[in-house]
Amino acid sequence: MTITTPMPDSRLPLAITGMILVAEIALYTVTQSSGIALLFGVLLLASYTTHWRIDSESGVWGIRLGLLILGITLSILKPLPNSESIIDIRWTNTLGVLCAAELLCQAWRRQPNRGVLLTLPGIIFLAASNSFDMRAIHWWAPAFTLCLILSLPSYRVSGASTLPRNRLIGLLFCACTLALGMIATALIHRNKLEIYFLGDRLLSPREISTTGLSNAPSLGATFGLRGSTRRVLRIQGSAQLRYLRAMAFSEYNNGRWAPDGTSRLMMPLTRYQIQKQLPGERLHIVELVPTQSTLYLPKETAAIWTDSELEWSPQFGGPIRHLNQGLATYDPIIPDTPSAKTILSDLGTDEREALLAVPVNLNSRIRTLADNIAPQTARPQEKIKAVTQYLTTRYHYSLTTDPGNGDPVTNFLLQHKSAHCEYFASGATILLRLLGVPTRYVIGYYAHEVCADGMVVRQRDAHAWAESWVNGVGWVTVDATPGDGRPDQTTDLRPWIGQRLFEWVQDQIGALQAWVLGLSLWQILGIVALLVVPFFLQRMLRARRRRISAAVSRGYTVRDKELAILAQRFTAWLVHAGFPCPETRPWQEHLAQINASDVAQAFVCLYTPLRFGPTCTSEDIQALHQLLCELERAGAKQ
Amino acid sequence: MTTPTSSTVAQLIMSNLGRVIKGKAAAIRLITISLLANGHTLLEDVPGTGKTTLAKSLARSIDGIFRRVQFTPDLLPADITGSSIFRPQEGSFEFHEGPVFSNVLLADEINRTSPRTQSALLEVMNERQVTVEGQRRPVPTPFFVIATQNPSEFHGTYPLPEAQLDRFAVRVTLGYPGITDELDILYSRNDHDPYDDLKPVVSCADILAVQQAVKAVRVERAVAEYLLRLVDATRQDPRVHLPVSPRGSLTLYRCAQALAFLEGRDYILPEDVRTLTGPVLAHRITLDTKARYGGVLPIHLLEEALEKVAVPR
Repeated sequence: MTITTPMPDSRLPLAITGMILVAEIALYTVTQSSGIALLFGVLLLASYTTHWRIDSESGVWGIRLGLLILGITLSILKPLPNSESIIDIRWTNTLGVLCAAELLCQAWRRQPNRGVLLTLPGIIFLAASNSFDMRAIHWWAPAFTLCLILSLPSYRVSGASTLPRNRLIGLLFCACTLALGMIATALIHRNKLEIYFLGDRLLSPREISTTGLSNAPSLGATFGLRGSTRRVLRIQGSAQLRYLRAMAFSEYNNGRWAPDGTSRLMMPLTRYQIQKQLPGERLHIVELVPTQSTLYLPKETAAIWTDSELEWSPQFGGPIRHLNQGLATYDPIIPDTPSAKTILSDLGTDEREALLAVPVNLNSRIRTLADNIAPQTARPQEKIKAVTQYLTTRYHYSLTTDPGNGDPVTNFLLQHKSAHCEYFASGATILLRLLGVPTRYVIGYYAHEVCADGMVVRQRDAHAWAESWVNGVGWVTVDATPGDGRPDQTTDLRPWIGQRLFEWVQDQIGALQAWVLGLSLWQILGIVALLVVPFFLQRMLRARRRRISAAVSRGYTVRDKELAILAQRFTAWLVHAGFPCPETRPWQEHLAQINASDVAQAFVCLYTPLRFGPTCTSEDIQALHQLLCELERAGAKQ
Repeated sequence: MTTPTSSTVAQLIMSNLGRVIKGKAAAIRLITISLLANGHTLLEDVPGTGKTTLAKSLARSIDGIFRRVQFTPDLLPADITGSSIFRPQEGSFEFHEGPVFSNVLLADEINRTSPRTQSALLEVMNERQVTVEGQRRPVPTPFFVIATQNPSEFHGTYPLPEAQLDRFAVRVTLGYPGITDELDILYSRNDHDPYDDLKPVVSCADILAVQQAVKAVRVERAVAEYLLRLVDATRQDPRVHLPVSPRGSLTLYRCAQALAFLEGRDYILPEDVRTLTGPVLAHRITLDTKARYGGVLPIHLLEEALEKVAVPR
């Protein structure tokens, strides 16, 4: 039996190299990166100039570590342009660079990993596809696909072929693959908008509505927010029950509240305007889910410390919205004592008028009801107390109600007398206005759940109440909802343990995320080095130890490690030639059986006395090395 | 007779033997290896294949004391080791040395005597001395036993005890010669026996020197471990009742050295161990009843071990 199969090159097949280069060029073109991927491609081409390869596993890990550091450093130090991309371009660019580094490592190994060669070029090309600008991809995609098809025969298992031997069937196979690819591309291109929107919905975090109300909330039959225990806010620095105001409304018309139509200015606030040093309680409110950029603040807030840009509405007397894309944190400051401005100020004429307005067609019985609750001559605080007491004692809380025909609040006050907090708040507002107390309708959250470091507000804590203006006091919270209808009474105080555990994990991840985002570039590099470098060093050392122990277990002394490496190479060469030598058979016997070449026999004849004999010089090793190189180059053909 | 060098001693012996025994180069080689390794040889074969002739030829090739013992059923141990005879004139006992006091002892048809007599060779084969009446008497050096026997299935034979078998370095089977070789035998013995023309070609001192040189052959640790792994395979095999002993390991070790020396090397190879595994170890292994009646032979087990144990490279 004669060996006729030529010894394959230690270099990567040309088609695979082409595929890798195309992917790297596409990455460079699309992401306009620092070119590190191109640099790796050039080094990959350099592997064609020599047959030298890294033999030891520890060397491979060392090279891998060096390329990893080089790739990350160069790709991080060069900031990327803010090009449009589907997801953050820095991540995909870094992924592509890392894959290019690993492919370079494989190209310089003695035996590259076929699975890596097959998958990583695809990942690089996928990273290069992270762009809305498809022009570059249109040029490179066909080239990549062609190289992929041409490289498929290189992946066949030894002794078997994944492609049919018949050339006609092989061509037909390639044509079908191309056709399927073109059809898939056309379909994707035709439906790209639908695909884009689907991806956007999947990738964008879902926002929740603030207390279920909009800019013009209407009173509904049910208050559907009471069931959800999803966390909305975390308040640190306070364990006090408090109302967190989101929005306030002044105009009521037939079941719908609206802000005052005279002016609704939204002006950006500077930090100078809002970040004041005031003595008082400082809260730290953290958004846990997007809340349509709405701020939730106690009504006593006199200053806000935040990194976000804010919008301010004069109508609501302060900032109501932040301009962050993501989640915001803000620190409202509640002064210990109200400011003199607050105490001495009064509502403007227009504002007072708006906050006393009732619908023109309001049922006269409501007016009568208001007069029966409190006399017009009573002080505002007395009126507020009377209305609150009247509603809380004579009306019942219910999550569902019948709005009926006509004005829902009128129906509630005069007929059903059973509804949820929105109706109570609306009713209190109307009644107090009829009694001459400027009052507005407010929605927000009622914070009551105490946790480890403060309080947590959940979706179910959504609430509606009223705020009345009292000269010399300021805004006074008027919660006319019966006690059993408040969030702290109608809900279980704490969710079940599974949810608490899940929330704890969420908090840890969030804290870690915040910490990571707060790190500087050098800190990040330092942490990566601390984590990654020991791992790579450990793999290098382990590979070296394994190699030495394997050598020692075969009876090699450490100084004979060169012979061990040569033996491994020769064994690998036999495998590549298609005639692997069983471990239980000596080489001499095996070569005689397969009628191997003179070079192979010369190698064994020279190797044997060096291995088992008393002497082994460096010149002998060198001669062996040359024989082996000649063997690897020339093949084993007899 | 000129003094041969160490490297030519074996060649001289083998070529001398080859003048008498035709077509049995492998057997001659094995016997020579056993001699160089300071071991003893057991020639086992059917009658008439030249066992005794080979043994006598080897003895004649060495310029030393040669003794022959024909083992018969009535042979006594004292007939082998020697005994003391009373001399009335002196009034004392005088020890008469037995045939073991020689350089080459031919124990012909060793399995035709009783185990009691067979065991008389135990001490001398292992320790090169006999103990008679409490007194230890060393035998001459070199001391080499060549024993012949027919296979135990033949009538009138007593199988050698395991302890005795373990003391033979190699067991050699000659087999029938080929037609060409047998034709040569016929014509070479037409008018006279080639054995009569044999002359000694080496001396006892040469043998001793060679045996000493053999010990200097280098044994790489990996090869020694390979050897022991092969031996250990026999000990782990459940079909084996009595596996190879450490004496067997040592004998294989020494014989591998002798083979390497024979081929002009100063180091042994795994191939040397593989070549000698059968002849050196097969006769030391006793199989259990089930394996024996199942047709399994010790050589089969050794071949399996050679296919299972990794060769050092």
